[in-house]
Amino acid sequence: MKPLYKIILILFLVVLLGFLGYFLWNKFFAPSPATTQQTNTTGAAVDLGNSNTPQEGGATTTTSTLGTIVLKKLSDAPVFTFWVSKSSGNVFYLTTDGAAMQATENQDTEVSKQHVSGIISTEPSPSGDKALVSFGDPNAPQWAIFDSMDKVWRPLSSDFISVSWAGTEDKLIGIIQKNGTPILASINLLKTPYEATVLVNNFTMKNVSFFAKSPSEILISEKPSALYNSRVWQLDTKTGILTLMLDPSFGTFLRWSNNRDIAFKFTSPNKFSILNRSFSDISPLVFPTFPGKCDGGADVVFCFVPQDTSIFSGSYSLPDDYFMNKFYTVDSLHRIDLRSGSDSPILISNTGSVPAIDATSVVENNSSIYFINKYDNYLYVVQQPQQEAPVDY
Amino acid sequence: MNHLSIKTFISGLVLVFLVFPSLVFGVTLTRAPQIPPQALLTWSASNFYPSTYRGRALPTPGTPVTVSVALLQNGKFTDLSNTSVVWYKNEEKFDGGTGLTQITFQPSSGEVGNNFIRAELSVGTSTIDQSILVPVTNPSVAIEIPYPNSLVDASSDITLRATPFFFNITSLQDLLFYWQVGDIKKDMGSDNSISVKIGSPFSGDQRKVSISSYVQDKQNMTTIIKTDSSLYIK
Repeated sequence: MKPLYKIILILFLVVLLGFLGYFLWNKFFAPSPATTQQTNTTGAAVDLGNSNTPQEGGATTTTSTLGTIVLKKLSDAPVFTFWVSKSSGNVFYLTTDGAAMQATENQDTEVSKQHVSGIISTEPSPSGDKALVSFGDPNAPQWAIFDSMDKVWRPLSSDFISVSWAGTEDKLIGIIQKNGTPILASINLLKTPYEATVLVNNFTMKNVSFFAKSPSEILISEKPSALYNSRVWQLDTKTGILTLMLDPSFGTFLRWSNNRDIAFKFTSPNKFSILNRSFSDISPLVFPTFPGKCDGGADVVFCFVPQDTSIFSGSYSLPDDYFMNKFYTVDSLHRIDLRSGSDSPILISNTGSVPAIDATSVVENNSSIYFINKYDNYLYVVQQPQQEAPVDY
Repeated sequence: MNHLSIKTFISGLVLVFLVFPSLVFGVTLTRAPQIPPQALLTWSASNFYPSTYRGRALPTPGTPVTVSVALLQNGKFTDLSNTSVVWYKNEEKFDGGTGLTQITFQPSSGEVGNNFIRAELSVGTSTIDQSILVPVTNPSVAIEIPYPNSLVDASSDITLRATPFFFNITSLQDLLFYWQVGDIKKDMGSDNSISVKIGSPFSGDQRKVSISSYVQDKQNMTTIIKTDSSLYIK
């Protein structure tokens, strides 16, 4: 056979396989908006009979099935928010009066003389080296970025209404005011003035926040309340298509893990679950807690779980009452292996020398678990025993 | 096999494996199900709550509530500037106009509960209808007791705070705070916190301390929210 005919024959087979592959993928594997169903099982905290040993410097060690756990109060002052640089491991925080500090083993360092008052929210950049901060009137917030590397505040344009990181260090996504009209835009911060690429003209959705699962997948979430059926959509910035990802449910809200691999979801009255990036439920077991008490990755998750689960029995309107601080919880820290389904309590607060912990804003970074304790608003860290690297023979 | 046979064979392959599937694929694409047009309603309430509050601000009587509509066609946002929109509130016509993509209303005290808001869009020859329930509630006050299990030490000094939510005010200065801790009543003016000296109880009955806060809107003196809580002396 001539070589040309052989080439043509090979091309036919490649094209045929391509068509077959496309149809099979569409039929079986194409992602689709997922709705989740959870069953609620109350998990009991296990008392390991730990011996808790107070140490110098305000640290407490406790023994668990994983080895020695160390709990330390990290900040020198009450904290409004914090973020962790993924590359350096440095921890920065904003105090309740708006000072920017770096947490150190000794006295914490004030990294900027400028204070910001009336902080509303912060969001660390994907690397953790910057923080996007909103402050002022919650109905008309101002925006700024704190750069932990340069230790400077960079105010953002007053055009910005509601913005979020767009999956990179130099881009934001959100609503900006353009000639008196709100538009949904992708914002390039490398340009001065900023460069906005319009995604949706005259964007009218109210009371929504944004989260970049990836630079092309933006989640648009309604703010939650136990009295309102909130929804979550995903906007594909390449095609402009908006897809409903979570059906309307009372009190629904999501919090994505620090590495954006998984999401923690709460729905009124007491349903907690862990979702993967496709919004499928991957919870090996279900215990009631709140998304702000958890962080981790696709394999292992750490969650602070209220010891008294009666708060989920209907006496409170959730999540509203928790956000309003109408009650405080006393938590135990659990380590959950998403592959095996095992759940190991590794720290029980309010026992021995371990203070009571109502954990929020939990962040896991390199086996250290950072959180703010709502009882005193200080930043704490739980350090686990270092995992031994496997030895190659 | 001669060249002519091979040519014929390959031509047959081209027909069967390339042209035919392409035709099928093309037909499939043209007959792919279209996403029907869909209207989306969302809303926001403009009243007073702490800047740190992570939940949704709920409207109370007198709160300006803005409801907006967006239209998706084939899943994409569509310009509504030339679209006729008619709004209904609890099935009574509220407003209408070309490009009227949002309305603002203030619920009355008789409208506490769910308010049914509906938008009717004229798109081409079709009418697209969408509705949403907007919950209206009363202002709320949280008495913050940041002590584990609300247990406090005997002979200690503690500070309690009453945090108001969803009043139609612009600052805490627009409110008056009254407290009753056990048998003691105190008028704190616009200060929403109170310092309490905890004594030493003589009996078990004295270990529970009842706390009530009363928060009154200066601009609407009939709005008084009473909140009860308790703390326990170790």
